[in-house]
Amino acid sequence: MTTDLIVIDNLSKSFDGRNAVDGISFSIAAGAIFGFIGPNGAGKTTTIRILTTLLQPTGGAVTVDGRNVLIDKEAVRRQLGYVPDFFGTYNDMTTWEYLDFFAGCYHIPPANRPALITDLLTLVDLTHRRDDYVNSLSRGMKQRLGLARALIHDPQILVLDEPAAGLDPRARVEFRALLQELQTMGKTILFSSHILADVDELCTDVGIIEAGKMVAVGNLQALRAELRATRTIYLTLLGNQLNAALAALSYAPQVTDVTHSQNAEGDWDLQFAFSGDKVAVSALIARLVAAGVPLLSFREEAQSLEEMFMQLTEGIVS
Amino acid sequence: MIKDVPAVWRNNPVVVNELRSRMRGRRTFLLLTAHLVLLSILVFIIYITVYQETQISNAYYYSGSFQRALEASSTLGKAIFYGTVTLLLFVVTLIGPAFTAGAIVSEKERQTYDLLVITALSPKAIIGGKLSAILVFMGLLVLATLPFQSMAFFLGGVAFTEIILSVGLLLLTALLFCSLGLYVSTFARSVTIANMINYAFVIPMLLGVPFMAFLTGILSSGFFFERFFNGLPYLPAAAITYGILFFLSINPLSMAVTSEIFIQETGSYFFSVEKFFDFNIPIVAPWLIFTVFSLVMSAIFIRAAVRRVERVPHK
Repeated sequence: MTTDLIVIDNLSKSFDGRNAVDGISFSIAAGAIFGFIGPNGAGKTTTIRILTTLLQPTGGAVTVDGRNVLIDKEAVRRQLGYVPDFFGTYNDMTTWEYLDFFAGCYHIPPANRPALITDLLTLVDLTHRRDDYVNSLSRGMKQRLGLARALIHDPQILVLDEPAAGLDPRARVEFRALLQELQTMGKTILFSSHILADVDELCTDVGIIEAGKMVAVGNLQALRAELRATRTIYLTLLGNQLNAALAALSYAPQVTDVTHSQNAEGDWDLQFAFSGDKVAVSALIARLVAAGVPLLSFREEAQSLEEMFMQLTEGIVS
Repeated sequence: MIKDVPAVWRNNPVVVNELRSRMRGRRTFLLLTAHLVLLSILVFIIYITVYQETQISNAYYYSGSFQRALEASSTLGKAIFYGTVTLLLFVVTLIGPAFTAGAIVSEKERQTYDLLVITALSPKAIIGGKLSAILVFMGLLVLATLPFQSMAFFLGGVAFTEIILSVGLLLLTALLFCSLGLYVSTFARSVTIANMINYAFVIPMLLGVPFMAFLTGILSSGFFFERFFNGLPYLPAAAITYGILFFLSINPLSMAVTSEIFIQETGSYFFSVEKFFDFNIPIVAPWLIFTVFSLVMSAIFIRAAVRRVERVPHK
């Protein structure tokens, strides 16, 4: 049984009468990777700042492992590792000094720091830049260093605000791999992103926010299934059995918009829209097989997160 | 609060970080060099000027060469001491706030403030660390001038206690102005604004109080003052005396001047009974008042700064 590590309950925040966050509620289970997505100005950063004890909410409550972020902020801060959407650094500080400084800020004894910093630099693949000035690192490296900083006190939860913004494709892939590794280490990760492909690939759960309101929240697969009103199905038939297939499909009321074409190998490719659920899909396959249709392939097009996002949001900014 | 001081110092990463970043690079080296060069030039000018003057006046008043040399040396020592302390007072009061102005607001500008405050470091440790690092540097500026003060001591005319007292008071002045700067830094929106607010306080205080003292001096010696305050009962007389004394004591420059006058005139470092408005009124040395005032005000500024860092903002 999974337990909810982060619970956001009816959270609201207004700035000068404008609702940046408007009564949102969701929870994140221990060990989940939660993708927090929404357009610019939707309220993602505001929510994250409240969760990380950096901003007072106007209403509602946020608890981390049962502790209220306003009442027990010191304990909450020890459980959180935060990577903001900017990389703040000190001038004239090397990578090692940067981590040593934050280790000191978490009261890690000086004797334990060298081994810890070496481990973290290895984890984020920055060992070779140990003595280089932070300002000389690339954006991807700085982002990884920021992650190492957030991990210095071994927090249970990682909160990352737009961690992949501005990274090149290779750095994004490396960063994704790093987050997956952290999940296997038992960390619970909340990250906001504009790059839906990253969220799609990484996240177990998502929350979609628009104009300060949650428009969808939950397990990514369950949301996909819930949102999928019609699915597109692709069939390939061996040889010249098109008529048998069309006849079998004509009995299924959920099938519409059937198109077909013969491929270079002489087999037939069919494409149609299907409005049934997964039980209906299974029955359709059984019907085709029973009708003696020689199926070479049966494939269903998965709805991308981008399509879901576009379907759920209207582009409203609070 | 006092019992937290060791904890603030012990392994405080803010102190290490601040000192490391301040001492790394050429800026500090150049500043310290400029400070000492300026002081050397001042001492050289004082030496040349006062030496020539003492040669002329002593030749007129004294015939014995030893007596003349002794008097000239003592005058030189005093002049160098007053000159260096006055310059240091300006340096401490003007540079201190400039250094502290950026302490917190620059963390916000370079976007490290959030990262710092969500660590396990307490607001006391953050503020204490920032202040300590700046005071260490101000202490370095003051201590670097000790050779000049020693020169004044060896030339005579200045007691060792006066030198120790001056160093202590300079450090207290640094504490007061740095605490003010640190507090301003917690609410200012930028380093420039923090500097503007700081100097809006510092310059009137630094120059305004001596100006008012000068004005009071003119009035007190004239007909106007005598006519108004002649025949005043004891309590109002004492109140006016303490008021003026307090007013003169809270400003580092007027405190330094009045403290020196107090020590020279009464022969005491702490306490005396002097005649004001025809009454013998007990008074304490201005530097003592300044010590209490600066400690209390610094504690208020530091506490206010800690509270601002503690607070979770609404915006």
